[in-house]
Amino acid sequence: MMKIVDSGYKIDLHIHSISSSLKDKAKVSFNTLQNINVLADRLNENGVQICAITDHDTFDYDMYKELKKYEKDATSSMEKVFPGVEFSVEFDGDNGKNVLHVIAIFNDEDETKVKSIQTFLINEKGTVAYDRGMSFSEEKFLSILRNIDIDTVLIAHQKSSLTSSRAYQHDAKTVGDIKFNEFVYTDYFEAFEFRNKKNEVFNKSFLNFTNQTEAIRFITGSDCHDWRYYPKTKESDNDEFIYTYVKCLPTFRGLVMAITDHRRIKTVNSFFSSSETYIKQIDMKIDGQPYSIPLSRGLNVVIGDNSVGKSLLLHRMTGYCKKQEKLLKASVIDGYTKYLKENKIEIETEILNTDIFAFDMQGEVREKFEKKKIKSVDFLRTYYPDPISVESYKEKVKRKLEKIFTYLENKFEIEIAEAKLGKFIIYDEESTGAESLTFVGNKSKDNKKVSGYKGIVEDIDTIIEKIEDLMDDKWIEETDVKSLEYIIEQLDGISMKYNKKRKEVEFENDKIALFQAVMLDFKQQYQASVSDTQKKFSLYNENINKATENITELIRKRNENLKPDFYIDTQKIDFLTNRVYNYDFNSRVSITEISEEYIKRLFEAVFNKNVKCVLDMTQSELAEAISYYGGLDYEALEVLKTKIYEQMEKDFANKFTITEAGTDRTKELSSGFNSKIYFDLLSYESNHEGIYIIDQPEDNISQKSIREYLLDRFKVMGENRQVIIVTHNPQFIVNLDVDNVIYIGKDDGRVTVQSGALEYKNDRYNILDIISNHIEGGLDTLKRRWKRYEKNNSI
Amino acid sequence: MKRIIRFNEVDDTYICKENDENIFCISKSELKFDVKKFYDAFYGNDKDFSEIVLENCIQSDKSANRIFNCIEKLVNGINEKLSELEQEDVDE
Repeated sequence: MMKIVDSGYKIDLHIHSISSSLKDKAKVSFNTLQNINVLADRLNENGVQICAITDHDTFDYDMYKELKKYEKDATSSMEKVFPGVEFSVEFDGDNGKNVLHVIAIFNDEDETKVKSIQTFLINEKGTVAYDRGMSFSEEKFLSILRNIDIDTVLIAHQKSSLTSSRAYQHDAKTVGDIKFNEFVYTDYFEAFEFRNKKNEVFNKSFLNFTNQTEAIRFITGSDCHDWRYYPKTKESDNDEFIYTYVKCLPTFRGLVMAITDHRRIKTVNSFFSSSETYIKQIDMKIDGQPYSIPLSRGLNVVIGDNSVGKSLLLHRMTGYCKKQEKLLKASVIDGYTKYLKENKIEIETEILNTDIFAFDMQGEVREKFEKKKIKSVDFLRTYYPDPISVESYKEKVKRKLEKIFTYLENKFEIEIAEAKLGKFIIYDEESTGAESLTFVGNKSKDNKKVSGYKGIVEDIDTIIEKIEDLMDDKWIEETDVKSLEYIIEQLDGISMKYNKKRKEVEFENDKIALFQAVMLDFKQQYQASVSDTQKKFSLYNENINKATENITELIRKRNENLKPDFYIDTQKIDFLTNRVYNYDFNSRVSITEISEEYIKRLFEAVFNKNVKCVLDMTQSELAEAISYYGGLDYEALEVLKTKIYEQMEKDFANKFTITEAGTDRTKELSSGFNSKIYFDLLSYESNHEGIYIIDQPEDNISQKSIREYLLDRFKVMGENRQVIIVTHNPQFIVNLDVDNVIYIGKDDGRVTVQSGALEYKNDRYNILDIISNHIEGGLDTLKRRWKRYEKNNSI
Repeated sequence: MKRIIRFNEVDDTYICKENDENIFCISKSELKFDVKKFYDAFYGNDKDFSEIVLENCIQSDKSANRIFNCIEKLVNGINEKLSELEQEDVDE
């Protein structure tokens, strides 16, 4: 028999057979003993694992036994068939009498008692022992249950949702709100049954709204009246049925444990993480005898007397990894080794360091916070998403800024050249007789062209390098690599073309330089040999030519220096968020988008208020416009560039923030970091796989805090990962409703190990008895859950 | 757009007028040609210089003629050079 639960079980505890014909007449006529194979097939097709035939006020033992045979059929999905009855019970409701349908599921362990269930349902005439028309009074119903004397689970039929304005006939809600609340607060029923998938949402919303999540459990039942159409109630049924999964061992005890805790009931089988990072069992030898202790994927607790080796087990399995953090002393390890040797224990299971999500040894969490051994910044860092990749956004903004700065640079150059245009004296004598040579055609070198072509070549080479990097990327497809190779070929061609042009201009420049040198030399020789009048006239003509050339050059430069705008395509920069519990760990930058407004804001941030557009400024206006700038005019543009690029770097710097319900809590959480937040984060973290191991969490936190939030956090953690807890605290066993208990004890000086789910028992031991005997107090909750069912239980 | 600029004199100054507005002047006593001022007046930002027509309204004054000739030389020279540049751009 299995000891631990490793999955949810699909259940259907509401199926009718022909024995319901007293009430259902022909609707159930197909559901005979001879046709039970049809039901079994349909149950198997639907993967139902736990089921019960629950006829109206009747128990057909033969039918039950026939279906129960499939429990042992290896090809069938069925693990457990329970005996059950759907009782019609008359209750005193708020406005009179109401007949409710109550499904009773019985413990199947005592075969003799099960066999005699029907005898308590009929009278001496052999008919159903109704005392209220076609139903039982509440007293009669309870008396029948007492007489049957088998542990029972009661489920109230509730066809409509709890939020429905009109209750269906025989629904629990027909008794009125006062009586219904009495059912809820006295735990009269273990669960309420619904059928229609859409009602799940309404029911959950009702629980949430009325804050009754802990008080009311829902399960589904097919209420099938014709097995051929299972899980439909009948052929014409069009409602969408949704199955319920319960987390328990497939035993009556398991069912009771599951049906009394809403966390053990789900409509999807998602009780445990699907991660494969967990250990299936602990293998060990005691005195040469091998033990294999199965572990649940969820919550496992290790209990036992003091100094019996519970902590040792954790440290040994984790390869004494805490030694590396200097938290586990060598002398303690020596003590453990000696203990293992003396008691002839070999622990064979070893948990890899990489499979451990976190391991908090005894008292470590308390120390972390009291002695501030844990740095919030370091701890919280692991929860943040990766930094946002901002390079492409930055590049776009940079390109725009470069255009603006280049424009300003050229504009100011033109301004300076304009100022240097100068003056000359107009030649005021008769030109006749003053003939002279005029040195015109002062061709200058075109260095701009050289740098322009050079820039193109360099840019293309950079692009080629980036494409080559991209081609090495392991994710890129072969066909795309070919396309990129073609692009590189094309770009190479363009690069060579502009390189050639650059060389041609450089060659031209060399010729100009040579020509200018020759001309200068000739001019000097000429001027030394002519009259003053000729010199003056020659100079005058040169001045006019120079002015012509300068003005033409200025006009050309002005025409080429096109005024840019601030426009860039608006692009949003989204946050990256990792949500853990109520906290959003965000990776973000200061700005939320790049846009024309952003570019303008960059300039506005540097300037004084109410200045003209930077594109219209002169160099001196720019120097005046920059806030707190008292430097030289010609240095103003460089200062502007520096300030704007600095601001841009700040805007694009990745920031990590924590928000809770939209409020920035980064500083608060970093400084007020405490064990509550620590456990919140550990519990709800689902991005990082691995096992969580903690030795005696009760040492770290008050009883009140354990009750108020920690158990809840551990329950969540058990759904996200495997958890192994060593504890002496009953709250961490029973109230936490753990999936597996490992008891390490000593019997005649020999170490013994017993384990299983809370509901597990075998011929030698019973986990609940072990807990009762070895853990003081704290079983009250379980007793409350248990007392109505286990009539002869010792706890 | 055609711009007509008239060369004239007022007292001791030679002036260039465009739409009755003095845009450029040279002192008769100094005869100094300020290239920057000429550039601003004739080719300054936002000014259309595609067709500048110069009219000399002082025919008899030799000094005035020399100045007018200087301005004309500059305007024509600039015009020619700009045409050359345009041609170079087309050729490229």
